[in-house]
Amino acid sequence: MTTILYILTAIAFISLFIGFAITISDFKKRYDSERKHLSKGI
Amino acid sequence: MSFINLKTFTLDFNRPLKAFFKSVLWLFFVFLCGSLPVLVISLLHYLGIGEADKKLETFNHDLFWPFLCCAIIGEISFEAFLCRIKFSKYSYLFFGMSAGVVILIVCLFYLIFFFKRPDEIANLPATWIFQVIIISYTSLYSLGVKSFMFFDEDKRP
Repeated sequence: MTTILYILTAIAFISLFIGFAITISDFKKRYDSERKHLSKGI
Repeated sequence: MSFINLKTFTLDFNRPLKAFFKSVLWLFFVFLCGSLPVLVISLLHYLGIGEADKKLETFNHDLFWPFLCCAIIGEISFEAFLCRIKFSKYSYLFFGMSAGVVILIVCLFYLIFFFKRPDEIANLPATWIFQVIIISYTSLYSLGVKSFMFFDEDKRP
């Protein structure tokens, strides 16, 4: 039972970090395009 | 140098740091409010009033901390799903999967505690390790997701 819990914990942390990586790259793109848009406006 | 502008009550940080700072504050107050029952009983225990020891033991046996973490994870997940900020579909997938797995772990924990006798539970080697893991996971998850939400919310004109 303890092994199953450890495996589930590993899955949870790995998918959390993958989710963070995807969201950070997504937000970075959005942030950069926003800044470009703002600098064009100025 | 002051980081808080007292006139407008806003933070003078750059945008990601500001979002992170806000999410730290949010998490602190959520944990504080959620753990108020335990804090009150701990205060009674400290003052030596009533049978606070037994009540504190009951809280630990009833897995109070994983219960609180489960509630926070559920709240954050649905808030992220229902808010106007658009995460990508893969973000939703991985965040949902990780939150679901942790809720499954907590359910398994409750099942173990339901089917085992109290003296066997006390001898489980990894109980506190899993409680620490669940609390640290919840902190990471809510800090991360809330930071993204505050970051997007704080759009500059």
